[in-house]
Amino acid sequence: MSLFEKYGGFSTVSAIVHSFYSDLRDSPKVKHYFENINMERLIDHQTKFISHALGGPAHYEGRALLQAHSHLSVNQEDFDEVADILKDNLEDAGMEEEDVNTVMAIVESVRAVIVSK
Amino acid sequence: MLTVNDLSIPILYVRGEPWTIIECNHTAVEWLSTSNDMQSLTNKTLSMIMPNINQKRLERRISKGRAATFEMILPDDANNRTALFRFRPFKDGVLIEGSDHSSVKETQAMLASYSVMIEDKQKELQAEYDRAERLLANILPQKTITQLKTLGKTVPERYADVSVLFLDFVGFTVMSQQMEPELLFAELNEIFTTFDNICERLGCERIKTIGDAYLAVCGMHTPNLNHALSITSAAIEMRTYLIERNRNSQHQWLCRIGIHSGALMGGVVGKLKYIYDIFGDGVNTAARMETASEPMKINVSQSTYSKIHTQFAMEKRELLSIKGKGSMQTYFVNGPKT
Repeated sequence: MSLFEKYGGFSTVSAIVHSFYSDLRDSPKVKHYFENINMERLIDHQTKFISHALGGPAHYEGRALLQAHSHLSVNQEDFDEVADILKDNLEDAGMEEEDVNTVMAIVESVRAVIVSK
Repeated sequence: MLTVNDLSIPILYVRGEPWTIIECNHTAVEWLSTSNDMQSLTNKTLSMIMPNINQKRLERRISKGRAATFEMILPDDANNRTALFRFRPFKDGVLIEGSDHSSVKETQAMLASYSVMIEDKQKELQAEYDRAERLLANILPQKTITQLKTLGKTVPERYADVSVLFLDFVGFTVMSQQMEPELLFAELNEIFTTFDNICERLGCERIKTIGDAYLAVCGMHTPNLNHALSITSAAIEMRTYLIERNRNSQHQWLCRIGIHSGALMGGVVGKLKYIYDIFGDGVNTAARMETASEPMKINVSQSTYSKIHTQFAMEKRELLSIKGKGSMQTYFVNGPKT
C-alpha cells in the first residue's frame, strides 16, 4: 500500500497542500516567490508533486520541476525552508516519522533540480 | 492593547505558559463563551476555551515564526458552524483570529467524497487490468506480451534447439462416438489438466491442444540445456498417470507419444484471436514421431535419442519410412535407467 492510500488518499493530500501553500505565503524567507503568481497553477503543481511523493496516482517529472523553478534562482537556504515547512505539514497531517522521512528523501532528491545558486 | 475591535472577526491575544487569554474582542466572546461577558474569557487558559487544542503542535510552529491553525466546532452555535482559528506570533504572545470555516469544510467534504469515488474506481480498473494481464500471461509468453504492448505487433522467433512432444489418444474417434460428450470432455479435461501440472513441474510448456492431441515443448521460453531429458521425463509421467488412471476407470485412455529435438519458430498467429503457435521442421518431425509411435509407447527421434540415451533405457526400432522424410531411425523410451 502506498503512503497515499495509507493516509487516506487525496483528501489528506489536499489538506496538506492547502496548509503547505498557506505556510509558504506566510514565510518571510520564501513568500516573495509566491507573490503575483497564478495560484491555480501552483496548487496544481503542488498537488501533483505531493501525490507523487506519496506514491499516489500523479506522475511528476523532474523536467516539470526544473521548468517551474529555473527562472527563480532558488538558493540552498530557501530550499531548506520550503522543505522544513513541508515536513511540518506532513507531521501535522499525522504521518509517522518513518513515512515523513521517506517523503523528505524524495524531496531531497530533487534539490539539485530546483536549487540553482 | 488590541486596537482592533472588529465585531465580525473574533480576535484573542494570548501569552504565557500555558497560553492565557490577555485580551479579546466581543466577537470572540460571542463565539466562544456562553455568557456575554468579556470577563468570562480573560485570564482563562486557552485550553479551557478550546479543549481539543494541540498546543504543542501550535507552539512548535509559532516558535519557527510560522502561523498555525486550529479548527473547532463552535460551542452552542445553532448552525454548528466550524471556525478556523489562525495563530500567529504577536509581540511576546500569540494573536488568534477566527473565521467561519463552514463553507470551506463543505467544499472539502465534497472533494473528499469525490476523490474517494475516483480512487475506488481506479482500484476497480487496476484489479480488472491485473486480471486481464494474468489471463494474457496464461495464453501468451511474457516476451510476446511485451512486444504486443510496446510494438503493437509480435516478431516470430527462431529457437534452434528445443524438444517437442506430441501426444494423442488411440481410438479417440470411437470413444467420442460411444461416450456422452459431457463425460468425454470432463475426462479429457481432467487428463490434460494433469498433463499441464506435470509439464509445469518439469519445466515444460504446453503450447496447445487440438482435439485429443496435446502439444508441449521444453527449452523454448525458459532456456533449459536438458530439454530432451525434461520432456522425456514428462512423457514417462504422463504415461504412468494414464496406466494408474485406467486401472480404476471404465474408459481406457491409451496414448501415443512422439518426441523430437530440433529447431522451430514460435509466434502469434492472427489478429483478432491471439494464438501462440509453433511451426517448422522440428514440430513436423515430432508429429511424425507420434504417428509412428504405438499405444502407450514413447517414440523419439535420433536427435532426442542422442541427448538422453545415457539416462533412459531405450529400445532401437526398425528403420521407419517417414512421410516426407525418407527413412528414419527411431527409439522407444522404456523408462529411466536403473
